Amino acid sequence: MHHSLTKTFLALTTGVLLAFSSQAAINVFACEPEWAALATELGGGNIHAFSATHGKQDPHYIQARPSLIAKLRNADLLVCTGADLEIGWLPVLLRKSGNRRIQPGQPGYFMATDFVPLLDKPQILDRSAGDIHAAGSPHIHTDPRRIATVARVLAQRLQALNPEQANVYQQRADEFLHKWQEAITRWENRAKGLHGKKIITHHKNWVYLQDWLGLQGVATLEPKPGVPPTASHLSQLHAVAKQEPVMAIIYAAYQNPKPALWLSKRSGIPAVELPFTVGGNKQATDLFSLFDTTIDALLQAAGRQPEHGQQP
Amino acid sequence: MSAHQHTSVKARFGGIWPVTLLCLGLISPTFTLAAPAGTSSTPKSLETNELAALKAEIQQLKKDYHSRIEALEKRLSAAESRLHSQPSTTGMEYAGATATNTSSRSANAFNPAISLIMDGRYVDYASRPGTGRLPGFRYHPEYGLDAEGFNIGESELTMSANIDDKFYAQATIAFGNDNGETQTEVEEAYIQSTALSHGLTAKLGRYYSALGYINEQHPHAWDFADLPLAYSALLGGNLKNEGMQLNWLLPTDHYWEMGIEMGNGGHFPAAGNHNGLSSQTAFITSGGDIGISHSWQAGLSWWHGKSRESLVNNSPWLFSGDTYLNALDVVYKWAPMGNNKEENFKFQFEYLRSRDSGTLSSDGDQPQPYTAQRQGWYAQAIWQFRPLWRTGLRYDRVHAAGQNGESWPEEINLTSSGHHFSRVSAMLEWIPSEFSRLRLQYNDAISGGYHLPGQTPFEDSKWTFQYTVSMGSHGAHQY
Repeated sequence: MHHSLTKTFLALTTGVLLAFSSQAAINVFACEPEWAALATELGGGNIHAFSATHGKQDPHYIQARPSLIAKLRNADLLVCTGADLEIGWLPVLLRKSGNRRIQPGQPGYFMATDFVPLLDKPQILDRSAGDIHAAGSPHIHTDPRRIATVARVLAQRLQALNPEQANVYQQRADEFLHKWQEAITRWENRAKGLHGKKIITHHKNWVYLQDWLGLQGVATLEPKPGVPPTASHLSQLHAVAKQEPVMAIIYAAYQNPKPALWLSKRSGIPAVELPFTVGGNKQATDLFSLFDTTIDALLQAAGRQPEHGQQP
Repeated sequence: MSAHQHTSVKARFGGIWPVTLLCLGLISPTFTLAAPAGTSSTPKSLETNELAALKAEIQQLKKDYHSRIEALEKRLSAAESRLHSQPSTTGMEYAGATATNTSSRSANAFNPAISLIMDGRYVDYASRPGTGRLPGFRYHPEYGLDAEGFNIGESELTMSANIDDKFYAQATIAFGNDNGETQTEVEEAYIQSTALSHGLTAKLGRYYSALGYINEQHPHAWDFADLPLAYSALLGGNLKNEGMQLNWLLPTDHYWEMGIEMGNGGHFPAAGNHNGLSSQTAFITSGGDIGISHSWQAGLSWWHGKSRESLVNNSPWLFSGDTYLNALDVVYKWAPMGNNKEENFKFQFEYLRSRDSGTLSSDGDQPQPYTAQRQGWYAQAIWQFRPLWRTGLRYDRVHAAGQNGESWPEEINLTSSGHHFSRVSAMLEWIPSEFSRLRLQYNDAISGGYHLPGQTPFEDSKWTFQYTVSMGSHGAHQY
């Protein structure tokens, strides 16, 4: 009884706030859709989130377009992945924005990878190894546990930027994290069978998903990070796939499916397109459905895994 | 358990101690509830005062626990709020969850971003390269054609960093080979504000002017091995400015940028020693997206500079007066679904017009009035048709017209009849990575209305093979 009263009160407050907050809303400029989705979960009607990229765009290669400069100029909070993922375009946007609020060191500058441990830190920094990320792999959002960590810090940042609404952010963060924890348990239970399974990925952008679910990445379609797959490299992978039972060949919605399909056709290993982020496919409309559909696709691939050595 | 042991255990398990106590506290109400039930079955032989004492004792215990639970609850909520400020949680743990990202703390941790771009080329002219200077144009004193054969082109060393929370700075030093002599030049050295708000950005120092589109690009960012004729003939390369620039980005959802520059007028087409501000620029740029695959940008710009006794085409003649420039630029880009990694297309068009108004004088003579107009434009299309491969086509045209009155001496190369020149360039690039590029380019000099008997064309058809590599950090490129 008490609980439902609180809820009604909160709903009413939110409604009233929504009505008055159109100009007070925090403008969030997210570099990737997953952070726009997270900001929306935490901020609700108190924020207005814009994503610089969409679910079918490769965040490594974005043009510093005029439209993005205009958006960043009016942003109160910049939420990006960091770890050099946006190095090819964000620095230009920042310098051209004429906006002090979102410059490095300001409360409005938020790089998600600053708050979680990173995997795949290269031992040797040499560009003969391809287009490597010196700080480690930036694609942390494929691990929901890391998203939880980021959510906690981001909620505080929203509170700091908009102290009048601090309670609302805290409430929303608590609710989100509660639901998120439940979802993680659900996903982990569903994905138990995936533990130890081997996968081939297009680019090394699934290391955190692998770390979470215990999947084992045995090879990448790219011969080196950022270098497009070549025929000779794919043939080598075909040989590897014959020796090891590989569950699936995984590629992101924004990546060219051809190399994965080519190898799939020859090896009989299912090629699986994963959404990678919110908007990567029709089902992935928010962070929850993103992982729902990711786990669905992986389980489906595990289900139709061919017998070892089977040729089509 | 002695007091000493007690404290040491508490210290060691400080983290779980409140939790353990809290558990005890949670059990205690059950205990206190059970106690009265127990009393009812107590044999009557027990003295009532004993019972009362027991009751009192229990009450005391209850009180004690109550206050202790209260204290614990306070500590727990404090601990919780501290936890909220740290990226760690129970139930959502992962390897290294409590680790923080520490970066190196060595003495060179604050080194600026350093980038070295190296460029080299092999140039082959169809016949003789000629003078490289079209009659009727007033050229940059150092303007010349590429040398034939193998040549290291211009290498650029760029350093940039945030200076503090107020300024960003960048310096680009170029060094190249000119007729066997090593030449070094400060291309850009400027500081830029990062702490102004309201869409304002200020620049101070030497920088590439915001005139036109390609002008702000360094040579490694060009899509061809050479600049369009409009730039090389009218400006002699990138138009530099030494002074200040103020930019204002309008607070609209659509991109509108406008700005002004004030300079010392020490760079071509202005020249000479000046006191004060002898060049001014104004520009306005707009741009946006059309759907998710198309984007565009367009700009208009004006420039004015003063010349005082500027050497004309390496002759004994000197120009004094004003030069006015107008530029129009349009850029369109296409990338399927906004992904430009595998395939993309870019079209760009620029029109430049310059007007000289002043006097020409040679040693000791009376200065003679002089006005001249020149214009040039180019249109180019670049297509990345598959990963790592790009091709492009450019059409170029410049025109000198409207020289006034006098027929100037031959040596000054400003003969009064109108001249135009056009060429077509085609290129093919292989880009193994973001840090290297090989380019093959052919320039075809298709027409020149200036052909006078016995004169070689000012620029001939040529093949260029060029490599460009980037070492170190490589900053993001502008649109």
